[in-house]
Amino acid sequence: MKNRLSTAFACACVASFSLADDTAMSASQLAARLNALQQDGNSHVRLKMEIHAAARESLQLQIKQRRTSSGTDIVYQILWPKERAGESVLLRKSPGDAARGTLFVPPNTLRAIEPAQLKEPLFGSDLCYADVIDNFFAWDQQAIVGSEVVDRTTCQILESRPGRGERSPYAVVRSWIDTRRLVPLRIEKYSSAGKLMRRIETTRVVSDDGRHLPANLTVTSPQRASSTEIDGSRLRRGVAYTDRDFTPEGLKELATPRAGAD
Amino acid sequence: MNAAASNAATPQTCLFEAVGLQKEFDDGRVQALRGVDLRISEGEFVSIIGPSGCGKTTLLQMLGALDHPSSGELKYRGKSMLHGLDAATYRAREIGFIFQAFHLLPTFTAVENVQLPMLETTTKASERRERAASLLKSVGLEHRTDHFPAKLSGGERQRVAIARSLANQPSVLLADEPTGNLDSENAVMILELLIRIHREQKMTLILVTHDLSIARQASRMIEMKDGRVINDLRGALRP
Amino acid sequence: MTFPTIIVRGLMRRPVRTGLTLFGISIGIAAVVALVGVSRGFETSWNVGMRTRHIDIVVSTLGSGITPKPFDASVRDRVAAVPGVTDTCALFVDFTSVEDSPMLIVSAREWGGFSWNHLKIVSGRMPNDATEPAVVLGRTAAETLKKKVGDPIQIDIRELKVVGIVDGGALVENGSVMLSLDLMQEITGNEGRINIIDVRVKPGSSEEEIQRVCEAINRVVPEAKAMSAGEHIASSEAYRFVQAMSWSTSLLAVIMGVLGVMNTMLMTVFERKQEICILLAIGWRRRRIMLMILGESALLGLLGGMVGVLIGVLGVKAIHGLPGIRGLLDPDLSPRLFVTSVTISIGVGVLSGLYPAWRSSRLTPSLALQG
Repeated sequence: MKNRLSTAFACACVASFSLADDTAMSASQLAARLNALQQDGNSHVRLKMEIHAAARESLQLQIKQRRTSSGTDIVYQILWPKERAGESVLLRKSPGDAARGTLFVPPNTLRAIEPAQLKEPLFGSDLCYADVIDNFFAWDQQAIVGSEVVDRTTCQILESRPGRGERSPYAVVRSWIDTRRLVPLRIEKYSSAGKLMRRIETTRVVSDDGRHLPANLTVTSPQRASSTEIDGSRLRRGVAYTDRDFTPEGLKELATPRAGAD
Repeated sequence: MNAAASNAATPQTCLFEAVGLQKEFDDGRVQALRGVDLRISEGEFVSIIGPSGCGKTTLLQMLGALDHPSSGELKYRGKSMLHGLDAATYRAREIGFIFQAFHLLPTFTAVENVQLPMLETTTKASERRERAASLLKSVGLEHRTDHFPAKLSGGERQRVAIARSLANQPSVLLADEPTGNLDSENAVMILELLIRIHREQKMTLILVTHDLSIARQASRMIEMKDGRVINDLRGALRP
Repeated sequence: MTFPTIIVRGLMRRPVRTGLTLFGISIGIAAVVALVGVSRGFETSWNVGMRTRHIDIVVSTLGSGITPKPFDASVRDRVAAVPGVTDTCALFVDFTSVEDSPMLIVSAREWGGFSWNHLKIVSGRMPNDATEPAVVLGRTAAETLKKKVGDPIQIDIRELKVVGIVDGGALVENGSVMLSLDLMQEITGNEGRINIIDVRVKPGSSEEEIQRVCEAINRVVPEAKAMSAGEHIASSEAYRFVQAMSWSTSLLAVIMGVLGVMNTMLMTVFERKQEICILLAIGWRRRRIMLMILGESALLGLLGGMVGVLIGVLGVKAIHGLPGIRGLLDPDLSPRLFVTSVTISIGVGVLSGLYPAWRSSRLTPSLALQG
């Protein structure tokens, strides 16, 4: 009897140990997994952006993105309203380099976006260029600084700091990660002065082929007293892009990419 | 007033007959009636007197079929009240009850209170209303028909209660301290009203009181003590 | 004065308590009306939609993602070849936000397919051909988007024209933006891809026959799943959840109602003990006393039911008007539901009056003389 009990006890210990091993990833492991999910190749996203500032403005956008381990290329384009249709932003970044890009405003204004201008807002929203191009999960310094319940889900708080080679308007980014679904439920970005610059809350998570994605986000910037809601309505992976899509010339065209094999 | 005269004018039909009537409460710890033998004839005006706790109210309850005796026999018009009569029908048609605290229903007007007993006997609403109105008129309250009890004086309330007790033209009026909650002026008025009804309608009137001066208005006075009848006086009772 | 007057008077005697009890039941009944109405409306409108379109089977990948995953258009030919299938219509359906609207159904249908046939033009016209850059809007969709015939509408990168507003006879259709499949495939870069196939079988087929055709389709089309139109909704997790929720919540509400009324009626019997004894003393039968108490609780139920139906309807209307829900909800507020709800409410009243009534009939009239 005693024997059997101790066996059961040993089993329980092993079980709990392996469980702990599974859930308590190290900070760098967690960041690496999130980074891998982020840099997932070609995709096309359709979303609605609602900016609540002095006035309310709705935009329909499409995002073309090409994210690989060797670099990230993103194009944001306004589809609607008609007056702003065609306004596009191209942002490109390779590891170790600062991001840069191009802004196109029809009919023919082209303007370069220099690393110093990455703090500027994207289409007047609460997101800046850096917010969409920076991937803080790829930064060097990652630490888990605690855990907290967000939306009835226990989250690990991951603290990311840019390495020496990184240029970012932010000094610290804290993200509350639902480790089961591997989705950040809240992100807070701080300046070097320790001031909160952005808060991004995930308001809806959808599952797509077994992967969980934040579909709706609310972005607030305490400094501006405004907020932006982002409702994702369509995501397509494995889309075929050409290099031209991510050039200033390609920015001038408003086209939906062809479906690849998915 | 000559109560004896009315007594002489009625035929001596036996209405109630009680033999060895006993009533116990609390599994015999309280003996309210300890063997009462009694005959009451139709048309009599009987007062039952005695100190409180003597069993007079209990006796009235037995006569009104509000409760069953523990033992003994009680007959109404020769029929056993326990086996030969349906209590509800008996209470509705043969008995009119008048209470010390009037017991009008507060959510009903005077005329509605008078109609309440008629629901068991009269199907037509208009007929009920007419008869209730005329009963109220007969007790002098035709100007008060649509008042709620709260708006009536004590004397008026008791007059409504008397009109209610007459609703189904009963043979017997059972009154339990009918003037107990009234001032002397109203008490006299109510008593006179009861006696008038007794005389004009040849109705048997059984009145429970602890007040000798009221008891003496009756043609027959039954005195009770400790659950027994100790005196049964007939004839000229008034001093 | 009649017996019903007495019953009414009994309730009037404590207006606040009666009011609160009434409110209690009516909230319960309102919950029944709202929840059952909404879930039934969901079902009815789906079934009506399927029936008006005469769709027997839906082939799709619903449930695997945000919207049904696209598959190759050639699947349609394989489905069409299945014995028992008489007609098919290929669709590309997207659940997306259009301009500044909340989520809407954008339903692209094969030009000439039967899924166009039942649409009734309310104003304007149908597109002229498969390639005209035009859409028609369901009535609710037109309202939500604040569009009329002739207005431009942006679908993804293309600006199209609203050429007509139609009544599809069902919620799903009326909340949709409809356009030709070819046009949608071109706009969204999904040439040669569809995500839903509407299927018709021989008219008059039984549910079993439809099931057999479904199985046959599933054998030749592994990339999607065929379901009979009725099963389609019943199998939806969300719908089953809504249905279970609405019935269990309603049941709970009804139980609360029963307890509330029973409590009130017991209190009423308790505090009217003497009055009841007086009524017995002046000749009322016990049956009449019981009827009075039951009558009062039934009346509470009736009134509570009527107020509850009213609250329920107003509540549903209010929810219905909320932005974001507009057009997604078509509650079934039929007279039948009202009658059912009021009947339930009266039943609640009678049921909860039984015990108090029995208690009241056990009182002895001699208590009338005491006090």
